[in-house]
Amino acid sequence: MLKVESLVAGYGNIKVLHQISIEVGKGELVAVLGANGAGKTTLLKTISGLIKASAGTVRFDNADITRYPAEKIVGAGISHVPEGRNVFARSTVLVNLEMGAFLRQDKAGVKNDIEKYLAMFPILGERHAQLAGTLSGGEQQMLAIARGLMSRPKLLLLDEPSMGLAPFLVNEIMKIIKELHREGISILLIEQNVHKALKVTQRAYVMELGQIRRHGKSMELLESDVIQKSYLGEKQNPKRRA
Amino acid sequence: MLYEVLMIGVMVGAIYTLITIGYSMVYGVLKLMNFAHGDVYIFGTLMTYTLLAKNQWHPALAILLAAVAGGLLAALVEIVAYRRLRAAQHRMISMITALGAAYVIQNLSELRWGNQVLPFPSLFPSKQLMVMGHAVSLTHLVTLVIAVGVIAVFNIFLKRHKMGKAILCVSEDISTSSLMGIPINRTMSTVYFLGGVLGVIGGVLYSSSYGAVSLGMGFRGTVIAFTAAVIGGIGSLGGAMIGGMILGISENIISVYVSSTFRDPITFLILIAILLIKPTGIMGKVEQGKV
Repeated sequence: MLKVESLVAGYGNIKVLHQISIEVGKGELVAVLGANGAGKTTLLKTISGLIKASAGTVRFDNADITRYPAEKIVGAGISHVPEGRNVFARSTVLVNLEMGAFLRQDKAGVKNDIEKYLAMFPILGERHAQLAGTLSGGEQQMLAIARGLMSRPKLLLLDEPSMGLAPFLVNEIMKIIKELHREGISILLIEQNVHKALKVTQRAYVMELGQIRRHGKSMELLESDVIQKSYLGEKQNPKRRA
Repeated sequence: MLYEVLMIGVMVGAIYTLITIGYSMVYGVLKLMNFAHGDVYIFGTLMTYTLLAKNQWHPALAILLAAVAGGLLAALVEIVAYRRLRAAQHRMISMITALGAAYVIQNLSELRWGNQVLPFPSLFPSKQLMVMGHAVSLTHLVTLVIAVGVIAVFNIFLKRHKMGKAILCVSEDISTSSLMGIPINRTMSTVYFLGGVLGVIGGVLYSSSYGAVSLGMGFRGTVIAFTAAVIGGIGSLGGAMIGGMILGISENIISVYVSSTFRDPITFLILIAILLIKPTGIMGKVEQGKV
């Protein structure tokens, strides 16, 4: 479904991504993990057209979308839920959702979807007339995800949805991600919460300094030495130390 | 006397609001000073003058055509002078091209209309009405009603129309807006277009109530739009209204009770005083820093 090949991109003269290749199959839930500054967000931004690639290709459903502007990529079926949520703070919850469906012409369908997500996230239903800026962090994250779904994407790009949230909210968000996946949406999840991300996803890539260092089945990565040492800390596995 | 001064002040305030909205909205979406704003609105006003005084057009038709022409000219400025430079490293670059566009429009207008003061035909019959025991000029009243009506329609457009809502989102966050599929370029041109249309309507109302139009009023229009936008809080519609009203009313009070010589100095003192108390303007919100 999504096929990124030898992607090179960055800001001005600074290259952040060095020949990145990843793939997300139809119906797959895939994670990209890595420390701060590894280039995970830049990767998502390049896929969704916010940053122009200087080399390599991004293919989606067999179409080359590398040079598409961001608004056309949404139309092609990729929805990017940005890091830090970035809800439209000065607009209401309802307007935020409407904007997520900007390209859709089926007014009745949009209305139905809004009702569907307000029911799926009851707290948003309660606050639909409130300005998005008045919501808490967790509520804003739910709004950002719901807004991302309003375009009826085939592929959802989630950039650190658990960032800055309390642990019980992180679990809540992970549950939502699993639920969306079960409904058949393909998801590319970027996470700093390596342990949680490996538990919900099927496959994962590990990024370091703009390159893919490892990839494999999430369960296997969870068990592996490198991940344990680099991201989960050795303390979590006292047996191996002994 | 005071009643009449206030009445005219409110009318001028509503006109200033019309002129300010476009300028303020452009700053909202692009975070750029639109130097060409005044030159666009005076172009439209001069065009209306020709259609009315020389070609004897029906006022409504003349204003409509000139407003659309002004809007298209403003959109052209966006496409030629800003669009390709949006990604430029320094804002100064697009400020300079905007200034360039302003001079081009100004000089072309001067070639066509010269820079003398032209007598602008009155749009409404000069009658006096009695409202609550006070004499009110019909021109002032109708001008006020039209200006307020146009502002109200524009407000409804922003709140209800999909494109209006998109404009507010783009002014908050361009890249997230593009992730929604909002066409950024088209939104920018729309903002310029609407700003030009409202500006021309404001310019025509102003010139018709004062019975004069001249090229020099264009620059003053830019200054007024800037001042009103900053006083009210740049980028917000409510701010443009408050700023426009403060300017319109205070100008008229100062002109009548102090001296018209002190009109502009005192206006700028008000600007400075408000900025000292609230640096973001009356309705201004603090821009949240983003990493």
